[in-house]
Amino acid sequence: MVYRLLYRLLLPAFPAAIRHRHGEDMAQLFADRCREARRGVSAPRGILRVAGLSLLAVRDALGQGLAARMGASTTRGSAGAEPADGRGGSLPVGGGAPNPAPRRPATSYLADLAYDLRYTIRDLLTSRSFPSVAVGSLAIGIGASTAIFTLVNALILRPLPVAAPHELVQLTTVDTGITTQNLTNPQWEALRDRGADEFDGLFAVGTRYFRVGDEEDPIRTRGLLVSGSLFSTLGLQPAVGRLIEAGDDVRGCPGIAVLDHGYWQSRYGGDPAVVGRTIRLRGHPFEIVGVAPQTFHGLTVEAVDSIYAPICSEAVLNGESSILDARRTWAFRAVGRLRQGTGMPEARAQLDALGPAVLADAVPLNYGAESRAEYLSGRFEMAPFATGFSSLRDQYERPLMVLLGAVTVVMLIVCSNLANLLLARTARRRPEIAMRVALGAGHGRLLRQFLTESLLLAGAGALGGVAVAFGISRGLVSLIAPADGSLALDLSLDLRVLGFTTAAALAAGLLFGIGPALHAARTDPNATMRGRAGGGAPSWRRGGSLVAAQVGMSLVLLSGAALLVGTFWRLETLDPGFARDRVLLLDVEIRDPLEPEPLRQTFVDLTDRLRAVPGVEAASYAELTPISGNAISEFVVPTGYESLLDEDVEVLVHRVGEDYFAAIGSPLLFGREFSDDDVEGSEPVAILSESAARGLFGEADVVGRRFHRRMSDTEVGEPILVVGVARDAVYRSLREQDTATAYFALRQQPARFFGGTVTYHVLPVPGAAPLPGLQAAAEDVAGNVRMSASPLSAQLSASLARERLLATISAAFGLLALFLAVLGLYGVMSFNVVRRFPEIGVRLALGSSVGAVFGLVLRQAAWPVAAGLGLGALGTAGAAGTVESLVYGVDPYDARILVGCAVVLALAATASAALPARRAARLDPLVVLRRDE
Amino acid sequence: MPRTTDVDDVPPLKPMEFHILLVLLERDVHGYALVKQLEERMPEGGRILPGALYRSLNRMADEGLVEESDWRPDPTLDDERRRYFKITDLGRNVARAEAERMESLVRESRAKKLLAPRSS
Repeated sequence: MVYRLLYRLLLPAFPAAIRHRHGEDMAQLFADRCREARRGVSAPRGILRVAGLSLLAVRDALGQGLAARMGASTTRGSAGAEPADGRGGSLPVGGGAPNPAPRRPATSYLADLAYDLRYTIRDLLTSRSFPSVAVGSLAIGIGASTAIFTLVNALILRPLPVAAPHELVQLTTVDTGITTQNLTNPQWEALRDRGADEFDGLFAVGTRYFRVGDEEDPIRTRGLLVSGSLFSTLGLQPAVGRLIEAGDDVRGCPGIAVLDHGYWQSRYGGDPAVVGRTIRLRGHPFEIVGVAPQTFHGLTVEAVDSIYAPICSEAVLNGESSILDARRTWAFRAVGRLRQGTGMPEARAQLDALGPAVLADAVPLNYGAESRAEYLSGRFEMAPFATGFSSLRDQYERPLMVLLGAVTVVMLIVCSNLANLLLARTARRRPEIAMRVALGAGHGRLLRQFLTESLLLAGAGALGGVAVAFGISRGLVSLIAPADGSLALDLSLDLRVLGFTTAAALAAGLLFGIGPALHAARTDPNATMRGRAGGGAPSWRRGGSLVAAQVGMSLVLLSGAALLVGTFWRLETLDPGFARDRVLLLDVEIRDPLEPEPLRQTFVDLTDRLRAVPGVEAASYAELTPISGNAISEFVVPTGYESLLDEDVEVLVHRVGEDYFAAIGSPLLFGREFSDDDVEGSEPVAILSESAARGLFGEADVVGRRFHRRMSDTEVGEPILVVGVARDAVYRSLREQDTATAYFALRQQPARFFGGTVTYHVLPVPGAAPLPGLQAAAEDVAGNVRMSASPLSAQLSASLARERLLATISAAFGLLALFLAVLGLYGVMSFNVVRRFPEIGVRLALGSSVGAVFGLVLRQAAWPVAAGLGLGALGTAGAAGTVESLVYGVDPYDARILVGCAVVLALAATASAALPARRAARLDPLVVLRRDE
Repeated sequence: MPRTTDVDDVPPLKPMEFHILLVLLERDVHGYALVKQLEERMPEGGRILPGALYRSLNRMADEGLVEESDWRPDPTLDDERRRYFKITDLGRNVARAEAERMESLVRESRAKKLLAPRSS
């Protein structure tokens, strides 16, 4: 399909008659040839072959298309007309009739191609610097574009490796304008049992992390709970054994599991006898029934699901706390396959019809009347699901599009630079071109010769670009991967990426080649051969306007880079409201099975021991860590204030231990920390952030006041006493600094709030290395523990992956653009100075001062640079809107940034123009004038 | 494009066109099969691309040497997207005329001792 599409892009080269009659056949033939080229060789080799074939096909289409058009025009014209190529027609051979419209034999075009290629290669080899500069800059430009496109492809474009992925839709619910991605299990079961026949199958999945293996040393492994219909709906076949089927997913089912192919290979050595063996998930035995196909790794683009188990087996895993009947646990995502011939409207109509009953079957039991009405007003929605789930996609779609735009601008700068270089080359080759024209070479012939050169350069650049892209795309992934490296993006070179690279190379080749080629084809042999200044020399204006364009585009990229680097720097250095560089996070897991109450006590005892470790200034614990990506929010109301519902204050809830604020290096503004007296059963207390205090009570010092949690539309919870006020600190994201936060004492919560793992926040004395002491203390108190430590700053830093990506890449692009623009200006000015040698010689001979000549050249450079800066300023203002949502702490419309970048560009441009200007000013007029005689 | 009906009205064949007619004399084929057979006749490594093939076929169809064939292979092997070509009577005559022309050239070459006399 892709091959056919690619070839269709070439069809406009042919006259309409051929296109209409044979276009589809030609595309089919090209597709056949590509498939043949890939058959029996490794994937990279096959791709290289297809790339080579594509370049040949382009050449074939351009040559044959042109020839066919010329053949058509000569046939239509008067008999005996000269063919457009000016070389005369081929003579009729043998005893045929006189030929009314002599045509060139096809072999002559092949010979021309061979000649053009030979000539071009020989010619390029005579100049060492031009081809290496051209191919090098194209390789960087095409490589960078391909790398970013590879990421776009992996994250946004590539469909799931299942049958007909474009028929898949994700089902979500919408109520009161809010879309919920997940369904509760009762909702899913109600939907499944009502049988939506506009769908060729519906399935539900929920991501789970299983502790796999024996109790001693379990490994946390990502997997999916799936409904029985998953594999059949996706049209997947097992690699070994069988997959989960409808009959496996019934309430009360035993635990069975299907393994991911890669997991099976790495953990079981690809042993087919794995079927029937037992795998322990969270300590429960599950029978392995089969292995999923090799190409399928779950439904999330950036992750691999290693184990699949039926949804019903969640009861086996979680026992009494199973969520199968929980009506307020939205844990599963539903996906359906549209029946063939069914459009979205029919399917949507059916969902609209089924929706109310499905929702009614699963109303959460403790909802008040209003909440219930809101819930029941919901309906099902559908969204295309061909590309699967991805949280990274939501996060990176916009940044990647911005980078794709930026890299396109870089490519345009590369192209205009090369166009300039080619124009200068053409000017040098003028006598040779004039000779060829005089000997009968037509415009078309010259045009093809020059396009061969630019396409050859572009082809070589594309090959280099693929290698560059390989490196860059992996670098990009390491910029966005979480610290644990758990990013499984498939960056393989597929046909879409290959098509993109080919198209980029072709577009670049035509873009930088067509201008100089047209220019060369217009060479007037008479004027050229009579005098040096004759027709056809590229004008200063053309070179100047290319420089202006480059300067303008560079300014846009530089300003964008300044904004994004500024954003990153602001976020890297902002004061988050705690000691970002000192706090140590300590995950402690107690592995002996303990009842909730003794478990809580062990953790509390451990806190005291940690505080006593030498080198520790303070230590505490909390339910969540800042910027971990998790947050809980609640509505609260001040006591004694009959608020309306919409006047409730939303606060983020953070449950923490004693002396928490000391442990994060953020002393309280007012009041006290939680203490050992704030335990379950004592009067509920809270510490508010300054914003929360002001939001609730209108002032900061609110120690002693009380507030309530909103429990339902009409009820509030028991009064909570404010015992302290803390500085505002970031919680959910570094970009949200003044979020209202209410801190509650974790020890006032039921004991089950302490799971098997608690995260301690430890503030070491500066310069101390207390880790060994902490480890020993943990083992001493809790026996069998697993402990892992990481600085809080690492978590903060990881949360800036997106900003880091944007800052790094945009800075690289900005600098590259600056370098290319300066290089372009230098090239044009040098060329121009050489052209004006005679004039400058006369000026110097007539007494012009060195300074005047220097100024003359600089002034000439000033115009395109000034025009470029003006254009760039307009472009920057236009582009500011696209980065607005990505920046923080800097104003995209801030003129100072623009002016700063413009000054940098202007200085760099002046420096690059000064070299040729100095050369002009140092000319010896005698030498120049003698040479000109 | 006016269709010629007489062998003498057809311009001399190009080598590729002659080879196409020779392939079509055996059976009706589609583009890819045609290319494969033509390439077998070419020196090692020769390659025919869509533009060259279909420009020739288009011209030959205009001149009435080939036309689209109704013949389809066994339905299990068929691909509806593929179009088959067949040689016309005129194409057959033109091919024959070309072969005769070549034969006369060979004869002349032998007479002028350019080629060795036939060994048989």
